Amino acid sequence: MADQKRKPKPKKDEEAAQATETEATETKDEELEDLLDEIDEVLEVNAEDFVRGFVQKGGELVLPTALLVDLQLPFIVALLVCVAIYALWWRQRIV
Amino acid sequence: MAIPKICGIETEYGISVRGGSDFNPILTSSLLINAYAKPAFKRVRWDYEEENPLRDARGFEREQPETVVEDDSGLVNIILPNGSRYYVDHAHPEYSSPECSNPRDAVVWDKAGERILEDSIAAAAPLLREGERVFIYKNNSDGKGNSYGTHENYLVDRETPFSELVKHLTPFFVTRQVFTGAGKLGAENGADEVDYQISQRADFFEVEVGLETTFKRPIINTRDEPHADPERYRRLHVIVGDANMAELPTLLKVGATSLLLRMIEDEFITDDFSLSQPVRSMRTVSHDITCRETIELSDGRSIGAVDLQWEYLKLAKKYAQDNETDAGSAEVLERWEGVLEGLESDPRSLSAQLDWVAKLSLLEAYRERDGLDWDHSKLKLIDLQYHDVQRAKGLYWKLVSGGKIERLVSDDEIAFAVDHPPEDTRAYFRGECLRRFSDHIVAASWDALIFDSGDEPLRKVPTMEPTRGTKAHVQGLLDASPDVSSLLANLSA
Repeated sequence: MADQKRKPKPKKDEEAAQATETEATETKDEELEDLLDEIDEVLEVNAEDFVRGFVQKGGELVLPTALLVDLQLPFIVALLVCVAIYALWWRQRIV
Repeated sequence: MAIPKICGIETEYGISVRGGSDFNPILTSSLLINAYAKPAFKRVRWDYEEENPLRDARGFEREQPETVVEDDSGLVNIILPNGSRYYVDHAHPEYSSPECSNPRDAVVWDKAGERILEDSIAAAAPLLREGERVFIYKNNSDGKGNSYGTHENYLVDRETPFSELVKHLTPFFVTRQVFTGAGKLGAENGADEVDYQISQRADFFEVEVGLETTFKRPIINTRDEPHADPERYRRLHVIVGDANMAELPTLLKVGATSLLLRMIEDEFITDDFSLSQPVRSMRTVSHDITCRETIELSDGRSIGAVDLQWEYLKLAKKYAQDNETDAGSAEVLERWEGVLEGLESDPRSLSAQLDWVAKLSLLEAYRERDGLDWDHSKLKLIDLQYHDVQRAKGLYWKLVSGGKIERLVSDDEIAFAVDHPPEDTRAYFRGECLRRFSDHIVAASWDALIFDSGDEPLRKVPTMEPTRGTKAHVQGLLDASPDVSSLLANLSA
C-alpha cells in the first residue's frame, strides 16, 4: 500500500464535513425511498395486465358513423337495386 | 410583419377503461363530456361552416379525404364558458384551449384542461357500470404503435411565405425536443430500438411537410384553416410537440416558438440551419438522452441539438432587445437559457424542470430499487401513470407533492381558468356570451356565434379577429345587455 501523505488539516473540520455530506446523502436517499413508497401505494396493481389493457384506437377503426358516410352512396344504390329486383319479382307473381 | 402571437394548445387525451368489457372509446369519451357539461352548454351546437381541414397551405385543397376528417358526425362537441372546445375527436376526448395572448396564459389554460378532464371522470363515475373505472392520460403514445397529438396553434401573418416557415421551423422543431420531450420507454414505428428516449412523438414522424395528422405525419403540418380573416392571418398548426405535465416545458414550447415566429415574420433570421435529413435527425435527437449527438445541416456542418438551440436563443435575445414581443418573453428567454445551460452541463440536473428527465429519474430509481430491466412492465406502467390526470394517482403529481418538480403557475390561477376565458382575446366574448346567454346561443365556433333572440331570425355574429372581443372591448357592451335582443341591438349600433 502506498504511503500517502496527507495535507495537515484540522481533523475535526474534515470529519464534520464528511459527516454532513453523508447525512445529506442519507436524507436524500430516505426522501427518495419515501417517494417511491408513496408511489407504490398508487401504482396500479398487476402492471402487465394494466399496461396491456391500454390500447388507444384511432377513430378510423372505431367510428361507425363515418363508415356510414363512406358507404352511403353504395348503400343507397344497393337498396334501390334490391327494391327493383323485388318489384320485378312482384310483377312476375301478379302476372 | 410580426403580429401578436395569439396561441392555444389542443390535447388529445388517451382514454382507457378497466373492469368493463366492450370498451368503446368514443362512447366513453362522449360519456365523460356529457357528464361534465351543464345541460345549458350542451345545447349549443358546434358550427362547422368554416371548418376546412383539407385546405393545404401550399395552395391547394385535397379532393378526397384519405382518412376520416373531423366533420359533423354527431359526436359530442361543446364550448365551455372558459372559451375552450371540449369534444370527441376520433376516439379521444379532446380539449382545445381558448385563444391566449401569451405563453404563460397558454400554460394556465392548458392545465385547466387537465382539471376539466379530472372533473369529468368524477362526474361520469356514477354513470359507469359496477367495477368500471375510467383512466385519462395526458400523453401521446400507448406503447403499442398508436400515437395521438398535442397540437399548438399560433396566429401568423399571412404575408409570411410558408416556405420561410418551413425553412426556419424545421430545425427548431427537431431540436426543441430536448426540453419539450415528455420521455418514453422503447421505440415505435420501425425506429431503432432504444431503452428510453426524450420524446413520445419523434418516432411517428415520417415526412418533412404535409397535410396529414394521423399517419405519414409531417414535421411541418400544412393545414390551412385560419378560423380568422384568411386575407390577414394564418393559423400555424404544430403537431410535433409532446403532451407536457410539467409547466416549464409548456412555457418554453410556446414561448420559444412564438419568439421564433415573430423573427420569421420580421425576416430577422439570415442564417440557414436547414437539416440534411430532418426526419432522421428528429429520431437521432430523441433517442439521445445524453443530448450530445450531432445532426447534419444541409451545408455539411454538424451540430448538436443543444448548440442549435443556443443559436436560436441568441437570435431571440437580440431580437427582443429592439422589437416588440409578447408578454412574459423576458421570463421565457431567461428560462430557455437556464435550461440550455443545464442540458449542456448535465441533462440530469433538470429533473425538477423537464418531464423527460423527471420521468427518467423515477424509472431509474425503480430499476435500482427493484432490479428491473428496461422492458419490465412495471416501468411501462410508470411511463403511463406519470401522465394520469387524476391528482391522487398521477405520478407527476406525486413528484409535485414530494417537492421534486418545479411549478410555475398556481392552482388558484388554474381553477379560475377552468371557468373563465382569457380576458385579452376573442375567447372572452365567446366565453362570456356562453355564460350569460347559453339559452339563446344556437351554435358557436372559434370565429362566430349564432344567436336566437326569439323574436328575430337567427343572427350570426362573426368573431373573425382573434385580438378583438377582449374584456376591454366588450365588457361595457355586455354589461349594457341584460338579454340577447339588447346585445344584438348594441352590437349593430
